[in-house]
Amino acid sequence: MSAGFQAVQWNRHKLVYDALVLLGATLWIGLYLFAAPLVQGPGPGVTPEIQRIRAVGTAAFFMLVVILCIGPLARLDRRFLPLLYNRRHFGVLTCLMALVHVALVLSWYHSNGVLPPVVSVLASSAHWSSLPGFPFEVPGLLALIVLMVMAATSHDFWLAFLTPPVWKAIHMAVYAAFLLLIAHVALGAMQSEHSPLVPALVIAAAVLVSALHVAASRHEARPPAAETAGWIDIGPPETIPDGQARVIEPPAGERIAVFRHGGFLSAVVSVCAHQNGPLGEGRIIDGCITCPWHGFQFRPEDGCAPPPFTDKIATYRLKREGGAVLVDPSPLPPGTPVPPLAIEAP
Amino acid sequence: MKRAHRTWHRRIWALLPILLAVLIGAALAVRPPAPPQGEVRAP
Repeated sequence: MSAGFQAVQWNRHKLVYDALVLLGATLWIGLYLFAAPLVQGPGPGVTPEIQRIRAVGTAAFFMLVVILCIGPLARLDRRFLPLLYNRRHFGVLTCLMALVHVALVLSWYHSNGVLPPVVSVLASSAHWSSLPGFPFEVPGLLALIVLMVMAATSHDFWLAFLTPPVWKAIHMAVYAAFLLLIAHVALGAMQSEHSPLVPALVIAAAVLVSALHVAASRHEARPPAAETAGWIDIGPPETIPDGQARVIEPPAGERIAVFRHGGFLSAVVSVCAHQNGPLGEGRIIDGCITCPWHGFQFRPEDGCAPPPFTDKIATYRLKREGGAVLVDPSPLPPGTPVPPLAIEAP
Repeated sequence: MKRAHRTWHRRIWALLPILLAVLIGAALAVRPPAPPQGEVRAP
């Protein structure tokens, strides 16, 4: 589980996950190709090639919508966590679907002119200053570039090479890609198609993604903890479920996860060393704090990953004062041993 | 992930619905009306 280079380690879960994503995309494309002619009725202009372009394009669009929903869903309800484990595979498949869409568009619309196909796309409209004639292909191409950068850097090698904060910042560009994709559809298909279905689906996707993110953000927000001379009262320790944590929001610095293991408490930073995952939402498995995102493990008493792994996280001091348990919000260097505090007063 | 980053993330999430609403609203505002029944427009 260290962040060193290693090839993709296929397991049954990954294979099933990828198979289900591919099956869902294939079913959508088949359903679209079957149902779209029935909905649209007979009419000129929409050839089977154009139907294929739209079927693959809508598949890529809805795959990105599902990807964006997985994160907040997993924070709101732990039952969605299995969807998060191989989200990167989902992202790479979405990028491949978008590439197929672009390849079909270039070969159908832009391959017979004198200009190279990509140049032809960019030069096909001169109405850059007005919304109705704006070249909707441009935001689509920019979204594709973002997806390609994310897919190309999705491997753990790039996570280790770029460091988690830089990698995470790059992959936050998925929201820019979503906005660009909405612009691509809103200025393209929504303008050329008169069916109310297109704006309805775009609005539904935007509302779903926004609502889930706002809900997850509100779910995460906690009132600041009460302080006693710099130390923070963690609240009644006996109400922390065994093997789980209470997350403390200090006035400054990272969130702190106070884990209960057996009759003891240990405090570590609530940010995983792997991908900044919410460690405080994890559980203790085999005596180790286990990140809910990718299963990285750390010992509660010193924040070190079990051998042979070398990852470390910051630990915090705990003390009992009167009937209260307090945590020092100043983090100790990653891997510093701190004796666990007994829940029952001696 | 530092505290400033978390605040930044929350701002992005708060900004997301606003940007989406503006974008879709503008696109709907300039959307051409549907042609009358029976009229066939050139593709």
